[in-house]
Amino acid sequence: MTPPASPFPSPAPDPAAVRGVVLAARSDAVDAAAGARRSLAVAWESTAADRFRDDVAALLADLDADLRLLEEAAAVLAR
Amino acid sequence: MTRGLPPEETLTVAGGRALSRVDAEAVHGAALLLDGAAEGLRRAAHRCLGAAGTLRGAVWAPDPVTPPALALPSAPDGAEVEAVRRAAAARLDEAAARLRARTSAAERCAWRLRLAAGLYREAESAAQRVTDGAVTLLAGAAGAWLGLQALPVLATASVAGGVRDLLTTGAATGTPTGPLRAAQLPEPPSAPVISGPDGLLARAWRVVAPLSDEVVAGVATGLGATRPLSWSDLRRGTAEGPAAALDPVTRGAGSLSDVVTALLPRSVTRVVPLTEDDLAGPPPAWADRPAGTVAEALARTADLYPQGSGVVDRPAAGVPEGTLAVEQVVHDDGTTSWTVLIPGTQAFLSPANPFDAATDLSLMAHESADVSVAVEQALDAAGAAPDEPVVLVGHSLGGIAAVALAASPAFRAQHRVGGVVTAGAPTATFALPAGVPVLHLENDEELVSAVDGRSSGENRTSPDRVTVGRRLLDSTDPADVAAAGSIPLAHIVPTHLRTLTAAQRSGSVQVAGVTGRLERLLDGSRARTRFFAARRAGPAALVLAPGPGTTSPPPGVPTGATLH
Repeated sequence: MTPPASPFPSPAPDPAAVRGVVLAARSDAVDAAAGARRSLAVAWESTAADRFRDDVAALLADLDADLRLLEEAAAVLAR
Repeated sequence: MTRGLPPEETLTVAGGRALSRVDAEAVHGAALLLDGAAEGLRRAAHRCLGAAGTLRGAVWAPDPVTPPALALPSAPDGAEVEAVRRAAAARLDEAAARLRARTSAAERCAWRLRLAAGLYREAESAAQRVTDGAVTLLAGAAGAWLGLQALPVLATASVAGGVRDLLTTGAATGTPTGPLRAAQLPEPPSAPVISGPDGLLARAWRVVAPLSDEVVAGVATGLGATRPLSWSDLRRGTAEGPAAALDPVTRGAGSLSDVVTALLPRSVTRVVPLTEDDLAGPPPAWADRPAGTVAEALARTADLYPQGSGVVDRPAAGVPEGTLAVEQVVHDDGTTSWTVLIPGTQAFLSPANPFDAATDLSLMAHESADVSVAVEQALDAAGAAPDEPVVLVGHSLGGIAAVALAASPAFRAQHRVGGVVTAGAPTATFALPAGVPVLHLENDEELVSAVDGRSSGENRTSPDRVTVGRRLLDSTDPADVAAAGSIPLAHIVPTHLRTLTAAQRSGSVQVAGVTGRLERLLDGSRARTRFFAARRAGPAALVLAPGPGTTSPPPGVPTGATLH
């Protein structure tokens, strides 16, 4: 006998689905980092462009740490 | 209310020379890549937040009907599963927060690059446009009502002024009032002002300040609608073009100027060269050095206020009220340029000091004004030759005088205008000649620069003319936030100097371009600064070229000075 259908959405998350969402987030972040990296090649010589490159480089360094955090979250969900 | 942005990100920059097409395309491309990165990071943050929510929902709101379906491979019991989910949710929350911060960083990188390259234009939202329009309409109705009420007064003042001029031409019409007090040397501030008024009015002003230009424009348009075109409007139109004849702010200022002129005794303006004896202390240390930079020229202009500049640790020049300065700058190649430093309003209405509201109105009405006359006399007295470039630097009233002179064909026939710098001055009604580098510094909260009825972004622009505006309230600098609630604090030179610093730090090509051109004239191998007190006096009280010992200076003229 099958149990009656619940009137509530199932609260029990499918770990594979949640992990899939996390991996999609990671993929978005990787693509964003690739785009930001390409912007470093801006062909404009000026102090403002130099500062822009410094700022983007700092952003990319921060993004590296964020990607590691996402990988950890995905690993936890894979257990 | 404050957006908590670094000062460089509270700027609007209008005008100036554009980048080459190649550079502009490079900047566009890089900024678009960053925009795309920001969008991707925002999406990633949303995904993390959604995943964390799903996990936390499972932890905190278990379905009472359906038995748990999750069977994590290495989670044999419910408590361990919960712990794993909590740990994952916490990591995802943190990741979402970090990614949101990176989104903001990427957007700001793109914004800063566009601003520095002069490719950023702030677009008004539909709500802002509706608000601005409603305010202008209401102010216009108020202005029209005021204009109708004041019609007899304005007409009488106009006629009275004309009749008085006819009756008193060349005749003695009075004597200057009592002597001005000698300036005392005030102590310079040792720290910036980082606290200001915070009452109901200050808080209200922080919110409505950006609408001040709409209020002025509306009232002026309403007032102008009740007045027929006058001879002075037509004369101005002939000299400066039809737009000048019809400009409501200029016409409104003309009406008020008529009233004030009718109230004040008739006078002429003369400058008096000051000697060291006339100063409250030793001459300023900078008197024999070129200003070199726009910031230093502005700070020197503020030093001429009797109370000092308000810049930290910067002593006042110790000059009497109504003093302007003329710097003769000799360059490495032997050529000479001149820098005129013109401070702002120092009195409401004064029979002796022309740095007053009457001059403000005359300048805004594009009429001959006492301070403009004083600048011309000071340049002549200092020996400026017609082919030597003159940089006019002014704060507030001094800024209006600077643009009025630069716009005047008569002044340009006598002197070559090399550049103009204004801080806190309503300048938008003046058209300036091409080829002259011009920098205007303004902010939303000072009111004075909005008296031309235009916001900083609406100021006249050209490849040579740059306006830097700023919303002080948005800044993280406590001095800016304090100034945002106080018109006097927002208007003083130290606030405008912070705006200039922010604009230069932003790397703005427009600001760098125009300041570079100005500073080539402000800097040199040596300099000599002369100080002149400008004074109003009745025509009969002045004796031109009196010769030593033949007359005493009129009251109000500092001891030891001779009429020039």
